[in-house]
Amino acid sequence: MSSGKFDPMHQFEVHKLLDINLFGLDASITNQSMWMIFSTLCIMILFIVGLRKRTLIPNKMQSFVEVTYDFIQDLVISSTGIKGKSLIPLIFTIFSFIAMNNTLGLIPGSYTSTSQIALNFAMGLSVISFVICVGLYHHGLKFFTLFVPHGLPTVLKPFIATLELISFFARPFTLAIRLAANMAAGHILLKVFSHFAVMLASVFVAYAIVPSAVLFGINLLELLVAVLQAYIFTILTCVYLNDAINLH
Amino acid sequence: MDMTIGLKAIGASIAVLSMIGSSLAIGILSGKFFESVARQPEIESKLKGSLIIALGFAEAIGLFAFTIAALIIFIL
Repeated sequence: MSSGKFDPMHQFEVHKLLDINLFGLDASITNQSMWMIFSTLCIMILFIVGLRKRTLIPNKMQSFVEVTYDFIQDLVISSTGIKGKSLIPLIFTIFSFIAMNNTLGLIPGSYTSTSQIALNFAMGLSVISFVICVGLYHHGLKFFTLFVPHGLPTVLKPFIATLELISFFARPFTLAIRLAANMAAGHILLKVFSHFAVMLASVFVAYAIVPSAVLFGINLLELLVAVLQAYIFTILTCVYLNDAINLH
Repeated sequence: MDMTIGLKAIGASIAVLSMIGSSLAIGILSGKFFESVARQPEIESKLKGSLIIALGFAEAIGLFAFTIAALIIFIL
């Protein structure tokens, strides 16, 4: 029998695994930080093992690493031009961290760190502050002409500048919520269909075939969405950096 | 009588009504994609990547509405 009330949000609860108190600050290891550490270790192992034997004609692991690097390099250079070459490590880190976190969340029984708004907002905020710093470094105070597109009658300029400013500062929020909502909605959907399968199976086992087949399809969709959302976050970061580096 | 849960349900369903826009956006984008591929089949592989990205954006806006609905039911 389906036990108790159906609560799809229980899977997103963060609880402490190891209590650590650093000078009065709460630095305990929660299930979210454990999965973040685990995904970082997975990325490191993947790329270190892939590059262990460097041959001219790559084997499978090395070819995977090379394809990922080429992908990120094409993405950055096509968005920001050749001036963006120094940004490749940052974009690579963002992409692989988000993709690995999203994908590891699809393992049954695991926890998706990127479904927490806190993590995504931290990433969005650091990306936008980085964009502002890069813009100020390259152009000094002329960076603020980004908000005033030229070719406008002078009467409209204050209003358009205000709107542009608001939409600029909405960027960390949209980046964060896009990722968090996609991950959370996907996992809630999976939970709902699993609940249907369990409820039908408690009546008669063969009735659970239909929800299980739908579950299979949804899992594949979630795998696509996991990598796609990482790609969208990355490409939006590149677009914002392009805005800052090459004004207009 | 405690009406909170009923009112919460009504609030959440009104919030989710705005996903009509997101589904319309996805439909229009896919329609334009099919139209343009029918006109010029060689462009398909170049356009497919951009289509998936645009669908991701449209989907995300719809999911903002879902976030508000979830907020209403589970947090407020």
